[in-house]
Amino acid sequence: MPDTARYAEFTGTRSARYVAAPHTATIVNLAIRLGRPLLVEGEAGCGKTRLASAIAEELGIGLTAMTVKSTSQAKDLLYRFDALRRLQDAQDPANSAARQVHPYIDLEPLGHAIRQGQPRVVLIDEVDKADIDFPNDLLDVLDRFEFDIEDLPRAEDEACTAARGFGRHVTGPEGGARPIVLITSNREKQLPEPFLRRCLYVQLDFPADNPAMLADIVRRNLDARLDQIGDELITGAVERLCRIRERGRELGMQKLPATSELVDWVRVLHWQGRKAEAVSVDALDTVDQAVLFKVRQDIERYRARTDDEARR
Amino acid sequence: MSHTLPPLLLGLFRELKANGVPVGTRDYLDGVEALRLGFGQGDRAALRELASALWGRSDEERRLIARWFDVLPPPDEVLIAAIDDELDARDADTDAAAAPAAATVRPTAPTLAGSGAVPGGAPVETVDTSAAQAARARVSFAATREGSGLPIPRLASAPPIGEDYVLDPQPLISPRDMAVLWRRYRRSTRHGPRTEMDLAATLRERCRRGQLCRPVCRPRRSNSARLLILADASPSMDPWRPFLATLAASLPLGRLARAELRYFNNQPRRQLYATPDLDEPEDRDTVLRRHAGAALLVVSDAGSARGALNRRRALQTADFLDDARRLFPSTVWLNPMPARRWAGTTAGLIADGPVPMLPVDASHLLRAIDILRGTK
Repeated sequence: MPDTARYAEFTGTRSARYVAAPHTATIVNLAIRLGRPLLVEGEAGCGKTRLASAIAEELGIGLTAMTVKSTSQAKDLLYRFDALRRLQDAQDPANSAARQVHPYIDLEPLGHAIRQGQPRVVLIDEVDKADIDFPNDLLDVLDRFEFDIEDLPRAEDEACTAARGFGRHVTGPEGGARPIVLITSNREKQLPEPFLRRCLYVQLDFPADNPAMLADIVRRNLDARLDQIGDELITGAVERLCRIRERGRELGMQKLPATSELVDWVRVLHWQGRKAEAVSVDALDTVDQAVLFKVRQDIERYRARTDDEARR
Repeated sequence: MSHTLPPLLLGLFRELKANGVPVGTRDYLDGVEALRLGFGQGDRAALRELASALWGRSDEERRLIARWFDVLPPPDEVLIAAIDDELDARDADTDAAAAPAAATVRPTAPTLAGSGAVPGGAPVETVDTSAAQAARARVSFAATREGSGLPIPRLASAPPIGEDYVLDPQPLISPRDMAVLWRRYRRSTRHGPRTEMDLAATLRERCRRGQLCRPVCRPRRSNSARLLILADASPSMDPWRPFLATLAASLPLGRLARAELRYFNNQPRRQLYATPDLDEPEDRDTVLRRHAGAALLVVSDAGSARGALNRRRALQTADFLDDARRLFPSTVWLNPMPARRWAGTTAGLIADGPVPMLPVDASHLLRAIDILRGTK
């Protein structure tokens, strides 16, 4: 079993800007103790990415975040070989460095995290954006927390270890800690079965049945001083947002407003000096719609529905 | 420390395996370790959440786990009460015995709530609370028969209409797996504009001339494999429409140089169609000529679904395949009907011909791709 004893327990409530549901915190702890990567899924705007920083903040450890792009390869998270710079340096006959490869290899964030073996949170964000081979290439690395730098010739192994502190085979120091790995996915692409089986899974849901928690989340995320924003505004906005979501679900909206939209909305209501009571779910104005809805069809559907009801 | 799962979780584990969920040794060990670390203690709900987090990877699997817990008979109240009484009596004894030596703490598995937060002042109390909790958890395990770990037969407990009636499609193959198969079908060549720097050639050039004017470039490596799929969209193929849709959806992800899917009705006659509803016809020979030199994949039940033998159809199909083999170096026929149903039908005659006919399952799909690649 991996050495995970050095991580404290994650409660999900001690972070300045994030509140995790108790069962989310339990699964996070389970993933930490079992040393498994945690796959986080859920609606957009429910705090998948923020969960990683909340864990790092609460446990008092560093965070390494990597956002996956559609062109990302697993190698890109581990190291980079700057062939072009080497070629440029090779133009100068006096430059002996260019005869070797290792000065041109740099570890990337995940590679660094593995080599240092320090307690930290590693976030691989939006893994489903990459090509379908990407998760499979990462499997082995996340399983064993070691990898090979394939661009480095074997002959330079020792020279590289002496000069850079890592050899062709990169692994953590003896007795080092295993980073906590979080992987988020928006379900744009199906992930391979072996990859899923290696991860623990948590789904972040919008806590519609827990208005107190929502209000707490909003309070923690407001920039303005709390005494300026009344509790009535927050609780009123939470209650209205839950109703808007219900209606949105009936209408089959593509993107329901979630926590991040709620926080923005409370901010906007405060700037505009409006009261929550003045906001009617049946007659949202253009500003509210712009803050809450992200897809044009959703706005149109909602508008059509409220117009229908007004006519009746 | 226990190295086995309690009967209740073991039963669930077996149920998952029986339902084809690929849980393995590592998942089992994770379950043992998680219980040892104090997760899932307390009540059934906690155990259910633990099982869901450990072993549920898809909505369907989580539903399976939820259903397992829903139909479990509740633990025996009398038994719980008896154990609680027994524990209370022991607590009283322990309190009396522990008073002179309060500093000795029994080793115990930390509960989730108690780990790391044991106050130094009252160790005995915390230990006993967690012991009582663990005992209660044991009672909830004891609800299933010891030993076998199998579920109690549950005829009376019809699930309420709800999530259980969500029907998940069980496709022959998912678009993702199909795309992975297409990726196996590749012919990697360099062609097109020279956009990639050839480092080795550039260094060679520099060594030869002693100086470098400009880097040497080469075309990027890309897949030059081409594929034409002809799929039967006749009514007898209706059960496999989802499979045809998977083929269509996965083709763009396959990164083939050129791939096209055309439909026909029963057998490829003069015209081929662009949609499964047989719209947008195009002359067959035009399509074949356009794809000459590519690989050809035919998907059809070839009359085996209805089980009839039609010699005329078999001859015409054989003629078509003869023509096609002049244009296409490799040809495979996929027949979604099980192979034992081919005998005595048109499919049987075609399968005896020179074009290999394969059923649709994981290993034969792999083989089909290998044939398309030219490794026969």
